[in-house]
Amino acid sequence: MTDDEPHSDGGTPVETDTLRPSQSTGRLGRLAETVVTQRVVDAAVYVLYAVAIVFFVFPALWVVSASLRPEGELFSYPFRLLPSEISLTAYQQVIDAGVATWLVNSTLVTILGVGGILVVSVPAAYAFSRFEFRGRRGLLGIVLLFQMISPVIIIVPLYTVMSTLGLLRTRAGLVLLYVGIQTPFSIWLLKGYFDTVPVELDYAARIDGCNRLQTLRYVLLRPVAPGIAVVGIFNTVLTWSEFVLAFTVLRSESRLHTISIGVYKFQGQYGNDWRAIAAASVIGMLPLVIVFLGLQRYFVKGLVEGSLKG
Amino acid sequence: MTDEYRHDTRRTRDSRHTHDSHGDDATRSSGTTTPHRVVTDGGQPRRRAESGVALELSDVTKTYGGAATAVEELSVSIRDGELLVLVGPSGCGKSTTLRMIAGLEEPTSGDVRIDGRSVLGLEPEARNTAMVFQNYALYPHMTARENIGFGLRMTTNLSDEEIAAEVESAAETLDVTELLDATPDSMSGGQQQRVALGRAIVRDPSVFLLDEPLSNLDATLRARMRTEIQQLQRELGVTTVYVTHDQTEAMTMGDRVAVLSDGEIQQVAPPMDCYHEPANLFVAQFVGEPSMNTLGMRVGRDQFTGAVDYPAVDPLADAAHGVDQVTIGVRPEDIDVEPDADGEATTLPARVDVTEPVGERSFVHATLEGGPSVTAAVEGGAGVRERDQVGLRLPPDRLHLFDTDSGEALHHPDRESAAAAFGPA
Repeated sequence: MTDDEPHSDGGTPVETDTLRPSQSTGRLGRLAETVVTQRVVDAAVYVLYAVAIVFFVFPALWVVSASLRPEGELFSYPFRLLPSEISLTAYQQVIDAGVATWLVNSTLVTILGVGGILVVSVPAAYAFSRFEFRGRRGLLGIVLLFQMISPVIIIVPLYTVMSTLGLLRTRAGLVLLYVGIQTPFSIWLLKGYFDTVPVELDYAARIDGCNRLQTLRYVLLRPVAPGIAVVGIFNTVLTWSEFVLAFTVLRSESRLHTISIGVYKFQGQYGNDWRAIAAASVIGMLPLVIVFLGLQRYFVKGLVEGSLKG
Repeated sequence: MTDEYRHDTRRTRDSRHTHDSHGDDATRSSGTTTPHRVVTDGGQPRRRAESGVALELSDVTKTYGGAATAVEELSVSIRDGELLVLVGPSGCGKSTTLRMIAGLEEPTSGDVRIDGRSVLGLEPEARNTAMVFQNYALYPHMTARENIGFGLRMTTNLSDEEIAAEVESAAETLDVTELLDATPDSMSGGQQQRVALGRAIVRDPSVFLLDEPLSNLDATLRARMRTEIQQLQRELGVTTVYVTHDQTEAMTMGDRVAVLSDGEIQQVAPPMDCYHEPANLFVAQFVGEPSMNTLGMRVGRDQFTGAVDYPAVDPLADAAHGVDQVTIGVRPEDIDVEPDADGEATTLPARVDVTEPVGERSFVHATLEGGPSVTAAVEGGAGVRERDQVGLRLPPDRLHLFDTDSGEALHHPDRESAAAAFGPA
């Protein structure tokens, strides 16, 4: 559809039509055609949306539904999303098993981990964005390279290193791992935000008497706040639900176990307690959902600004 | 009012930076007393060296990574209270020079002295300079009040009330009192520029550095702010370095103009000197709008030859003595457009390409027989039309002569004759 084509609500086509009656039917016909085509396209898009939503939301709904079913109804046929009756016994079971401890542990690890990631990556991103130093590009490349390595691949050497350092079965060990593994990506993301802030702000701050750290603290931190929010939320989600590293480092130290290990505990050698797994998963999901809803505004704003500001 | 306020800040600042107070009063007070002037061989009035020079750059060189040279052996001294304009095309090193004065970059070699004291290695804040940027660089999350007061908050131990008073006073000077509680994103470009100026003057700097401060403003506002900045600078009597690529700003604002090209100073002189007596071809073509016409020629026995020929009369022939290749320069306003070539050797036949009426005068762009294009500026309407055959008279007493190889000026026309030419006509 081209720009000069008349719209159905405009006055121009009517005028044209009276002037050239022979063309009127053709024009109206074409107009109707475009409207119909538009409707069809719209409908198709909404169907796609619906499919995508079902695809992403259905598992979550299923988990919620499973956690609320009475024992034995889980695999009933035909499949029903709404259970015939609500049962909270699975939740009782999960609470008895110590879900509160897991939540506390996950919260601690997440706060310390994300805090650590920010403490390292914000100054590092600032330096990569603003300081001219020898090997800056090379170092940035190496940082990116580390991001390419999946932690699962290096889990065996990591285990040895943690063992040597005496960090196995400690929360500090797990937090340090998270900081180390998530920092490269966070640096890259934040550097992008720092790069969008004009360097004249740094100049002005230095002339106004700030040293480098004060420049960061008083002048640059606010303009890059959306980026910090994005990095914070992203890492919160990752750290909260991380399983492999937590399981490897914390091992049998059950008082330190996080929620993801807790969920895993309901898988047994002879069968999985799906109701309990579902209930623990729901409890594990809730804090993130709450945090995300609370910070959604910043999250979206941060993503948008990061790409547009310049 | 302004004087009181300035004095006040200085007292508080001196108590903090005792090293700053050295020679401070002597230089400050000279703004109100008539300075002793001596005339240097360059013909420029200079105050006596000891107290008169507020800012001095000597042999300042800046290279990046050993390869690119941004500024090369730049030397210039700026008198107390003077407004020096650094002008040149983009990439000529003028902003780098400004940043080196401010302390945002360190020169690779050379010295920067403020009030007679070398400031190399000093933090920007300790140099007591203030800077205004092209994009204003206001802190986006702070109100105008916080923006203006930020420097005082960071560098002084003034109480909140004292800072508030300083900010109010600066805001009054710049007429931004109503904007004090607004954030930059709700201000127009001109308002942001005023707040940025306020942030600069509130710190009572020894040297005021302006980096293309008007380039982001629209034409009307730019003309107004140009005058206002000049007035402000005079009122405060603060030594100022003003960087611009706009030669109109350079010509109208500066006490002196330093023309830069490729990191080297081409000429430092009062604006009209740069216009009438450009040191070399670069300055000649950079200063003046439209720019000077140039015709490259070989020096012959009794005429200059090239795409067009021109009689080698004195004093041109004298000036060209011992040089092989010369470039004749002639300002568009010095060319007379005549209805047809009258056969005189100083009148060159040409064909009019375009005429541009710009109000009180018109520009005639024409191609000489032989190839080169020239532009003539004539009073009132052009009087000729496109494709007309005309004669362009290049009066011998209005010609500049340059050595083509070195670009150095060999001869300038008498400035008196210029005055005469423009006078009664």
